[in-house]
Amino acid sequence: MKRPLRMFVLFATLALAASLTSCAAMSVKPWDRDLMADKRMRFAALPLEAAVDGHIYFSKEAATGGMSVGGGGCGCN
Amino acid sequence: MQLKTTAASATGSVRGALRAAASVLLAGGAVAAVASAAHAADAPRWQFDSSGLLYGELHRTTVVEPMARITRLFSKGSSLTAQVDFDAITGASPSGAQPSGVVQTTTTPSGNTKTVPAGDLPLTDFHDVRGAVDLEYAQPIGSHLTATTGGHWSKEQDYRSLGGRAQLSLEAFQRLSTFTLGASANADVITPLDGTRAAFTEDDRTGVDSNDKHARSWLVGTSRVMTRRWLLGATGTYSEEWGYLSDPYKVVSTLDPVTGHTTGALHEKRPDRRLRRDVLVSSVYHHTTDVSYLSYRYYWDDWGVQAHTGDFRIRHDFDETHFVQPHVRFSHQGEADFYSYGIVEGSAKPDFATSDYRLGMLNTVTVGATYGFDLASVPGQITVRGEFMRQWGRGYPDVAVGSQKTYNLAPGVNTGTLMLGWSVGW
Repeated sequence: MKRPLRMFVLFATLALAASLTSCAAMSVKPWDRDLMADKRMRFAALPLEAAVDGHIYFSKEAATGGMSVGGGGCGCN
Repeated sequence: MQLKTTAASATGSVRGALRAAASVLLAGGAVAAVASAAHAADAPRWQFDSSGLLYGELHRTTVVEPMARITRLFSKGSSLTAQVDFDAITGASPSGAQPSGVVQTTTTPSGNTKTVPAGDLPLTDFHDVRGAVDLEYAQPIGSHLTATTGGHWSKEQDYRSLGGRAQLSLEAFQRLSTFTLGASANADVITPLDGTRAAFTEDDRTGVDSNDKHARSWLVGTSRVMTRRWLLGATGTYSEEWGYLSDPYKVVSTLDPVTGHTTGALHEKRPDRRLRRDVLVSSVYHHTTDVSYLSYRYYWDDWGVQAHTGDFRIRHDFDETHFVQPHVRFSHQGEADFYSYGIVEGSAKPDFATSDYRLGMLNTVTVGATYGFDLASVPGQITVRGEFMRQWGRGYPDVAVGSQKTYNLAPGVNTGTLMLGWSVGW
């Protein structure tokens, strides 16, 4: 297996392990999820701002990627 | 949803209330689920978001970008989203050529030439417009899976992009965890305005009008409700790009080994393949009233670029109609293996070379804030965002020769953005 792919699989395994172990460590009951229903409790609570930021930083930096794949398409970089 | 309505308004009797309560408990005891369902009944079926962006780099590029997104929410949880945006870009960007002790000329994408005074950083004037359409459809499969598919098309004068994506999300462990897998593919075409130039030549045309560029990406992610107040997520993406990956308008200066003056400018050459990887860790935390967003991304690719990016926002709601959200972001990237400030005459020609400052060592700092408010006379919410961004690189490398050591080869760039948004649901 190529090194980049190996790193990727390693990350996926670690992420899965972290999620599983945190499940055992703590549990948030359904009646304690009121705050999670708040529309602000999202990774991108203002989606258009996130889209605009993605476009700006894609055009101004070498690094890209993050929460999603696909979308956009731009000859700016 | 129906249980609650029936219990509360139809009978109003103790027996009815008890029956409703028992039914709720028997149905799974999920008080939150009932609340959620009741909330869903009141939730809008349509959501419209729009924004207008004004982006300006001091003495360089100006962009005007209106954007609109409309989402139709269907009763069984599926949704269809369409987004349209339009960019008008004008101004100038660095050509890649270095300042010199002598007057230089640069060529614009459309073939016109421009004289650059001695000592100035050569900039290339350009003007372009871009239109883009993006569609996305999300469909729940059973009670724990959601499939999302989407596609986009965009067109500018010298670039066309077409792509598709698919994503599958699984909620598990009493919906405390979400696991996501995604993939995408792009097929882009670059058609340089005045023809494609051969790499490492001053002006030789290849005779090829259009150049293909392909990309495919994979994503794996997970998020976890850690506590009543804390949501934590981690995402990794892996992307492959291949085809024409050079910038058709960027050049690399040739330099006199003694004086350091430029002697010419050759079109750059980048590898025709790139593997990108990144890992993103994100946190959303609900304080007593405020909500904070913190993320860190580590990026690395096989061109030798590594980048660290941190982002922090905190939202403070004054009441139900006003909020402010300050934002700060910092990014540091190292240079690509083939980044070059110039090719010294008499030295061996490299396999690849670019002087695009975006592939050099670069720091980016952004500070800004969003203010959101409701107006009694206008439905929905209005947001105004202002941000300041500064980018700077390294003045000159240790290997710089002659007069190149007297210039700042990566001068700071100051950028201001103003964004006006309007969101409404019904």
